[in-house]
Amino acid sequence: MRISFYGSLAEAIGREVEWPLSSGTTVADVREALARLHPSATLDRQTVRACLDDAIVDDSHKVAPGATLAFFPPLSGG
Amino acid sequence: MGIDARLLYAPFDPAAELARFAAQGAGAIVSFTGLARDTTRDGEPVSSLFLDHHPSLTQVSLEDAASDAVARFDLLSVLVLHRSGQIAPGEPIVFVAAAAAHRRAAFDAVDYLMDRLKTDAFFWKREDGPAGSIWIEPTEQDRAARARWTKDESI
Repeated sequence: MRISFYGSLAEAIGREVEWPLSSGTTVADVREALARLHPSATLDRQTVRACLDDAIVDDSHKVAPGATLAFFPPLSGG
Repeated sequence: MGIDARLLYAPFDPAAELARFAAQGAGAIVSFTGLARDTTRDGEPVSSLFLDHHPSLTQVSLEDAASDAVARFDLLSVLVLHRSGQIAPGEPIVFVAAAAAHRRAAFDAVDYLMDRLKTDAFFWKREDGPAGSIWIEPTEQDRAARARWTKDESI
């Protein structure tokens, strides 16, 4: 599975990482594993949203092989 | 009904866009231009602005804001232009225009659109300066401004 990052997260982790997927993995699982791998990156649920196949999702969502997952820091457009 | 919402990757000319938009002959035309500042909120110099965007959701967020404005206000047409990428101080970042038969709808639509873009548009803004780079987050003011459109559905 491919995971994309934007804004400050892309700077901290990279634009995209390849992620080995085991069955039953949820967005929460991926988030926790990422946080362990990148302790200096801000990945908490309150401020960073998860986007699965172009839709913002809850962390309880399961991730299927072939899905695209992205993590978004707070928006700052306009 | 004209809805034109575009993500731009190169500098644009707000005056030319306004002239083109106004040529439709509506009774009321209102526009807003947002320009890159040359200082941060704390007064530190900014040498460049960088806007990150999403390959599909950013364009969708611009279109959604424009469509919602048209659904909510009595408009003839709306234009939303938003830059992405590297932007120099003084350069336009965002341009919003609304055309209506009467001025109240046009004023409110542009006001609404800027508040929407500030909190809902899929961009991530970074200010670069001699002291380093800062990723911007929406302020309490931005959130409060956005919230007033939800509280007062009569507008």
